[in-house]
Amino acid sequence: MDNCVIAADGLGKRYRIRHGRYPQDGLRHVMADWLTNPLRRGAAKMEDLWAVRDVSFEVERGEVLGVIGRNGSGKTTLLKLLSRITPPTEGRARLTGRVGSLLEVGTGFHPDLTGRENIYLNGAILGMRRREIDAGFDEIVAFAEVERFLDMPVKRYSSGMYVRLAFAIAAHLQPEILLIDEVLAVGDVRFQAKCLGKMRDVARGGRTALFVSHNMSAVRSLCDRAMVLESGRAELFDDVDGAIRSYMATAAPHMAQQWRAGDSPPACCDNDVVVPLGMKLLDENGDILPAVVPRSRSVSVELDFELKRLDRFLTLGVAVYDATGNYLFHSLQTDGAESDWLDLRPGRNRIRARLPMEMLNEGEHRVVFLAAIHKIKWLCRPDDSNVAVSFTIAGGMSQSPYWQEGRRGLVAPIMQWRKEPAV
Amino acid sequence: MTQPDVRHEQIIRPPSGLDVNLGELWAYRELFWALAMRSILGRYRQTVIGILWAVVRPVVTMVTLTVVFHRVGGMASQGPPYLLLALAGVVPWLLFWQCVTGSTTSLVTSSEMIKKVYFPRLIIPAAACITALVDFVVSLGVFAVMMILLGFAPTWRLALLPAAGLLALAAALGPGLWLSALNARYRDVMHLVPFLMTVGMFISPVGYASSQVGESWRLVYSLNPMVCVIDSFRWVLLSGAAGGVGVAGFGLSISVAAALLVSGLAVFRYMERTFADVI
Repeated sequence: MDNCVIAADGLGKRYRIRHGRYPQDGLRHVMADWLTNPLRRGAAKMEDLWAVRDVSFEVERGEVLGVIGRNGSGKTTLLKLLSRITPPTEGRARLTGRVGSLLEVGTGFHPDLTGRENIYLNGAILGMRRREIDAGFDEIVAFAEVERFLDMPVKRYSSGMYVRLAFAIAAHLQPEILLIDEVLAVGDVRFQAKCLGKMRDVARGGRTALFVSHNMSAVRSLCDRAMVLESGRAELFDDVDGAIRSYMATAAPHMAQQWRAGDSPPACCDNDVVVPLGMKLLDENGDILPAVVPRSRSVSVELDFELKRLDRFLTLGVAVYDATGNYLFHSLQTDGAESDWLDLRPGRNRIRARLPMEMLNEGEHRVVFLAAIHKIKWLCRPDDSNVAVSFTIAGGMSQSPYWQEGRRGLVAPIMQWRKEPAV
Repeated sequence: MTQPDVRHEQIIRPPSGLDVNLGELWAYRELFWALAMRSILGRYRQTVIGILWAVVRPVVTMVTLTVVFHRVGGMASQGPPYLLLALAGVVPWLLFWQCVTGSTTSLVTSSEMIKKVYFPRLIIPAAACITALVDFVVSLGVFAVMMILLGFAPTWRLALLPAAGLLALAAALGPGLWLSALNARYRDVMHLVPFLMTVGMFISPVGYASSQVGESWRLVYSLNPMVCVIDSFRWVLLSGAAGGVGVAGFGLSISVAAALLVSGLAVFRYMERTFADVI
């Protein structure tokens, strides 16, 4: 029996944009226009904007498909098409099973109604039957932590309470197919973690879901496959990391895990000694690193460059910055004893080094190419350079049950503690 | 391996043709009630006058009409006391007025929901009309009180009141659907409505009996859908003591109301496709 729960075939949605004088949007203007210009002479030019174009994919029962892409790439429009909020211009889609759409939390909340009344209202709006709401009522209230405030009008709620209640109701939707649009970014850090946990339960509960998000680590942990949308067109990837890499490469080239020189050497690194050709971040198997990795992985950086001439005082390596731009450290191939220095030749060279993962804290890190003539001048100065790769550390910090989330500090080493006899 | 639930299969495709799909409306009835309750409760929470407003409005309108038409204008009532004649016209007129005014802006007010959730959009203006029904019921209570005060006894015709009420709703829903769909697309339509209502109140037999319209004008006058509604209410509440516009006129008026309802449904369903994009 066909196990395919969502099947989209050539879906497309076109909007028409008018150029020229901004059309006044009233009936009286339309009528005035018609009276003064019945033959439509010199009518404003219309441009077609395809928000979604020729998108086809299939999702099987129990699968979670991630949808990623830049702002304006068509992700929300695709969800709207599948939710029947707006009809497609072309193509078809077939959905088998009850569909629940979460395009926003708190839709339809009325400020003068109490929390209790809004739970029933919002639940009905989201498509829950009254008995379903009754059954899940206590759970919803407990999840949102608003027991004491149930009979207060929601306009008196703090913004945190409001958003927790909204998410709690939405999280208890029990449809067979879930279409979720970036609703995870609500509340404080603690609640966001709770939301993620709930989303994970949904994903593991055998429900089929389409998950649109900008949160790459959430996509990585919740999705089985992923689709990248770019200007309305979709590309499917069986491997989520592959999708994230592809998205990063186009959307955020400075945040990719590999860098390649273009036709001319980069302006920030213009000198007569060294020309950077490429940079890569590799995992323990020598493959390109995924964008988000736990600290337990082994990460190496590989530099590919051309030496125009040799110089005794040439030093090169990388500088590492954290997400806020703090300069964490730099490392040069000449840092060790002279006997360990690499034997570089004129022409093409490729060198590799392991990053000290055991020192680094969670978060995004930027690894920038660096070259200088020792104590004389910069060849490639890292501060303004775009010869860089980046990656994000998330999780895997330590085996300790007490260290499961981010910690303060630029670096986060694990020190070895020993017991000494008490004097 | 569980089989997919074929009963819930949906096909999404570009719209073509017109279908009203009343079955879908029935499936969404719980949401309809939830939205109607939201509108009603929302209106009366936190207002001291609240429900009193449903009493004040018909009474004030009736008194104003009495002063203008009866005292100043000298219009006489051929039958029941003028106050009752006026009130019997005011009650359905206010239902119409509230229903149309509420429907017109209902879609725009609920624009956030329309952009984020799917449900048949017909529910929204329909819920606005239910809110108007609440005030209508209260105003019927006011009428009952007036009847007692003036010593006017009702007859068996009162039993047809629900039918008259339904007719009033149907007559109001037609224009309501037209205007709500148009207002979603052209925002200035809602400014037309108060003007239309003011004119409407005078060309409808609210402050006078329709039998007082000259013979030669009757047919044209009967193009107004509210003529049949108000005549029905007068007939039911005042036991026919006030004259009507005649059978031909009544038939014409009710046909116009039906045409407005059917065309309103069609226009609404057609424009519904683009609501989420233009609202």
